[in-house]
Amino acid sequence: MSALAQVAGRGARLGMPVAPALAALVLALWAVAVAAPGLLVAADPDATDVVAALRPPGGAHPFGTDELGRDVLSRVVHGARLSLTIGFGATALGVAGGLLLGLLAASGGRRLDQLVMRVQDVLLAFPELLLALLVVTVVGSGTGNVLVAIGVAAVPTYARLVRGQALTVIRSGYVEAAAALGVRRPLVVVRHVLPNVAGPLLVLATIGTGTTVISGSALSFLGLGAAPPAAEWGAMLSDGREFLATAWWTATFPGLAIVSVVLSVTVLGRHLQGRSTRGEGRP
Amino acid sequence: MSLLAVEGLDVRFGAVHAVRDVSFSVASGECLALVGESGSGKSTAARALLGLTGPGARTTARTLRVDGRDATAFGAREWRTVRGGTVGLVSQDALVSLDPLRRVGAEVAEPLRLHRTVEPGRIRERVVELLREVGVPEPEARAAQYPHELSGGLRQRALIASALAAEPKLLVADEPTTALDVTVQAQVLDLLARAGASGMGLLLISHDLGVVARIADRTAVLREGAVVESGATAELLRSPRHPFTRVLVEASAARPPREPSAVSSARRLLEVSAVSKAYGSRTAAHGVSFALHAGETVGLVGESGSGKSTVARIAMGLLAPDSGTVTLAGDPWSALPERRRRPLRHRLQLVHQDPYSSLDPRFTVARVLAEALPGHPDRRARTLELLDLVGLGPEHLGRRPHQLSGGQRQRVAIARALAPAPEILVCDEPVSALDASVQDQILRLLEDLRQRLGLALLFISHDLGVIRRISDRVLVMKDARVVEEGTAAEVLTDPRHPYTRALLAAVPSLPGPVGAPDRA
Repeated sequence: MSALAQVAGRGARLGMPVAPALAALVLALWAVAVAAPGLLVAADPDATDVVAALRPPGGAHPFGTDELGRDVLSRVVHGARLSLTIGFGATALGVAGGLLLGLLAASGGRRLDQLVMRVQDVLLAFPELLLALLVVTVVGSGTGNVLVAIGVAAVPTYARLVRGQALTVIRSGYVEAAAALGVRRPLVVVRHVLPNVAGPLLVLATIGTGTTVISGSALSFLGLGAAPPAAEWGAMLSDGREFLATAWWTATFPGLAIVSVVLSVTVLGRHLQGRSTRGEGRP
Repeated sequence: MSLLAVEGLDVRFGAVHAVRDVSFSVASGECLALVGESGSGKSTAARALLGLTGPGARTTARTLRVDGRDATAFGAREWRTVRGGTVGLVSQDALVSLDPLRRVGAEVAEPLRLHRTVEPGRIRERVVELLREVGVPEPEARAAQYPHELSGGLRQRALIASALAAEPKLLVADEPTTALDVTVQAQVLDLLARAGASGMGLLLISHDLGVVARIADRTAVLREGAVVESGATAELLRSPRHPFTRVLVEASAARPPREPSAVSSARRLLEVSAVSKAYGSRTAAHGVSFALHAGETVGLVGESGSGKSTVARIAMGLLAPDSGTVTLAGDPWSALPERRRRPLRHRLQLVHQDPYSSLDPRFTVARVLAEALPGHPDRRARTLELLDLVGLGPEHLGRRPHQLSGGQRQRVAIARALAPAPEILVCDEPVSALDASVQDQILRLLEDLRQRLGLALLFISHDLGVIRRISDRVLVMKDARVVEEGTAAEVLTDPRHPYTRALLAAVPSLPGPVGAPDRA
């Protein structure tokens, strides 16, 4: 804990308040869990041991064991890879799609703008999770499909932001000056529009990642994501829920993992947002 | 007795000392003008008189008497009795000062209700009367409209009506005409002068010495928060003592039309023939024709919405005309597809009105100029040469727009326009966002560049003073048409069209070219 406080303290000295510094640290830990879970835990997440089923936290199993005697800590750490891949992957997909459609709408003329944005408006009318469910129904379940489903469902939000930001930039004097210099339109978009849209988009994406992590877990909870033996937070929650009365740890620790990621990402996102609206985020 | 007496007024925002030891007074029926450039503290000083400097400010004064009452110890409650009742405020932009969701009549009625100057039953009647007094036509109908349904001039008058409603003894007018066209400005100034004649005191905040000369009895010049000179307006403008006042007076002195530049040849560079453009049902340009010859400056003057900027964009080939053509040195220009126009674009370049939006906020000066010099063999040397041309140095290369002043930004924008070595520079209101002394520098720079580089300038402005200074020939636009055309001397000294005459008469100008040297 003192190491944590020390890092947070250093963050504060570097001009970063304590909460965002802590959030960054938590996310860094999860990044290690994704990249090399073996560094954090030794136990095999899939090794069953029926004799040691549903052991409470303590001793060899700090987070206890589940109904098949698997180590919950190990499963939570290993589960980060699937859960966060879905969460961050879906956000990346949503941002990419939003960027493409938003820029197309902003720079492609009135008709295209109308067409693209009316479709986005219709999609925006549905809650993201419902939209993701719809996509999963069409393309089928599985980790990859869930990622795509959540990513597609997130596109309209980003498309709307990108279009609005891009329109202000496109109408600015410097874009007109570039046109007068004979710079080609695609180059103008890459050189002027994209960098000026990136800041707010990054902030929204950071906050949005919290939502996609939850959506991913929710779909897995419903049995549409990762297939049973694989460690994934939503699926673990779903399994653990049956033992909530007798073995609270099976559902609580994966739940806390989700909370820690979402909270950290949101705190960090808000911090970035504050900086960019105060104009400090500008390089 | 003086309505307002201020001594030793100081306002600080944290470490920023915005107003320093400022003293002045206003008697009834008198108009005092606070003059200065942006950031000089004139608005802050005026707001201090209403207790409106805001929570971040620390305001102190040795004496602050408003209508005989000591205001230094006023709390929120006392200030409310003063605002609107004893002291009225008219601010610059009526569009943001009027609540968009309230009818104009309700806005004007509010001070009547708050200060109970008329019986509740007579409020409607009084509102219409007030609107009529400030020169709003059809006041009954206008009172029922929302601010966005009124023109800028009518909105400003409605705002003045609401400030006058509770019959204040003192009116504080902060740049009341800056957002208005000159003809409307003249009407609003007359209105304020009439209110003064009926015994009201007026504190006028302005950057425009022409406006000040027109109605102020006394003037105080502010610079960096302190009064550098004050006195009777006529005297102060005739023989300014402080060097800064002299700069201001020189910068805004009316000048005779310049000598036509020796047009090197009758070579027509740009020819605009019968160009028209409409946006939906609104006509922005109708049958506009003119020619720009090598080395000359054509001034295009008109009020907001007259279609000047549309004409500039059509001439630039950034906007396609609905009918009519533009030719560049005898070859088709507006008719070309963009693919074929692109290689020729270097021949004419654009300088924008707003130096704040014409530079990408993320780009350094070096990158801004690099964009204009694609594939240049010796980019660095050319960049430094361009900076030198516009009076900037290598130390500016690494700066971003927010690290530059308005004038420096406009210099960078001009350097960018000069980078591809154009023959024509189209300047769309290039100085209207700048302070008078900076305007003066930029106009000198443009004139100097025209002579040194043999540029042809299409110079667009709403400001006749600026047009007079820089143009060989002048086009006057009104309602999407060119109503008058001729040499600067003809158009500006002997206008034929009634609109040009109205425009000229409305321009507030200083008494004469006073001790100011001729155009440098």
